[in-house]
Amino acid sequence: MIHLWALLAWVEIRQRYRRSKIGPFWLTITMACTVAGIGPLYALLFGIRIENYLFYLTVGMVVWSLISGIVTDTSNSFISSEALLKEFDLPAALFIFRSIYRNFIIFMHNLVVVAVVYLIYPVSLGISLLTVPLALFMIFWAGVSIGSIMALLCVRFRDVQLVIGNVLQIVFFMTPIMWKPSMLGEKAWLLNFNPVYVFLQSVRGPLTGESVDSSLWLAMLGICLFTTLVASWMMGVYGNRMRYWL
Amino acid sequence: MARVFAKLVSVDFPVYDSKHRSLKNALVRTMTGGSLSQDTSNHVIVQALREISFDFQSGARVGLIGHNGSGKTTLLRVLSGVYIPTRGELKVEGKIATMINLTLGMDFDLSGRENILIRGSIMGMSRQAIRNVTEDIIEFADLGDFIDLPMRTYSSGMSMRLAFALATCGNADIILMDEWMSAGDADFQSKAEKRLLTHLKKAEIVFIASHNTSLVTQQCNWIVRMTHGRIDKIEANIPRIVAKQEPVVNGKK
Repeated sequence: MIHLWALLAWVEIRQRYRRSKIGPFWLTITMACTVAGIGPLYALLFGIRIENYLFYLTVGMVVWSLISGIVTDTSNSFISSEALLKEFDLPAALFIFRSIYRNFIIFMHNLVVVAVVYLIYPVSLGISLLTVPLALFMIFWAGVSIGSIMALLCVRFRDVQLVIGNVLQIVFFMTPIMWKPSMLGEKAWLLNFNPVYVFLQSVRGPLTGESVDSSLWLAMLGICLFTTLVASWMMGVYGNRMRYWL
Repeated sequence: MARVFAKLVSVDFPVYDSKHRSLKNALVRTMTGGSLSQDTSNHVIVQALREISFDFQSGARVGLIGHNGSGKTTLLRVLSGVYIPTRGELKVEGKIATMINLTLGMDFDLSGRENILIRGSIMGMSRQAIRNVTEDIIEFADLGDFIDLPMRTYSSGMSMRLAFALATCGNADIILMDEWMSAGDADFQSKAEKRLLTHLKKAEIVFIASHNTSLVTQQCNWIVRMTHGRIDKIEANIPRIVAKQEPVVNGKK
């Protein structure tokens, strides 16, 4: 029972890559192709040397796919489990955990690309690397609380899912994933209002030798606490009604 | 001692049309307010259950009889804890098992053994408990070496037998069934019925929702007739029902 969400996440991944020999490593290949395609092009466009750009881009893309995957999957997690939710008295949080865990499994597969790029264009990694697990935990935490809010909203209002898809697309371009924060010059402070940047940078910063400001950690903590409050309020008030909306 | 106690339990279903499924429209409604909101917020509410009251204790074998839409399935979902009653009081003491859709949660691209693990976990069994019953399930379902092959290679009888064997191996205090189960060919059916009856006998309270009046009268010592989400007057008026000590199972005392 404790690990049911992990089991279901594994089943879901197996389902998606059924009868394929390399299974979820298809995602790794997709990621590798994306990076190999975009990397040289944008290094050229921005006039940056590829060895200074490719690792930055790879880490950014991998973390972005984790974050956007969590947002997309959690918002769908109640709707896609309608049958189970209507027959078993399983805790709703289980389905949120499943969606998040699934994306972390995919993230682990994508780390292969990060490792390969690191071997080709090594960067110097410092002691700050130790904060990466903590940053990933913050993504997990925010995923649980924001995911619960999204999942609940999406069950009640079926047009929210479309909105989320559109917003994610815009956010991808507004977040420094393909471009660097320094390119904004003195307007770089504007990035502090982009919550996705805050979470992404906390993972990428230590890997690419950029400092992670303590204000970033405070912002993350603030976002997590606030959304946890909202999520527990929403689950308390509407959690029982959710299954009627399915 | 298992017990299922319901007092004036009602369930209201909101039925949203596409307009009420839209966040944009909801926002427009709140912003414009007043006259516009009056005619748009009156969405249809279906009263799926109305003032259901009963008190069943150990030994009760309850047959729920009624037409489609009379609230049988909704009542089972309320008892299983899926639907929280809109009004009224419900107390369920004991571990509940639902036997409604036996293959729900199974993945036919995975092996029988893996599906036993998945479905067993969904049913709330521990890894150890699942391990303990696996051999028994394989034997009863007569799967042999097929157990390690993907379920899509099974005949429909084989997957039915697997699902059935798994559904009848737990030890719940309260069992909720939607229609009487039967599985496989004639040969297997008598074997299955025997197993099902033994399984039901272990449970303290059993609810069976069915269209089949004769079956219910055969298996149950309490019959609840439902129409339009209500329990028919005669039984609904009994404030407290005490179960007989000896449950009638398969017509024998």
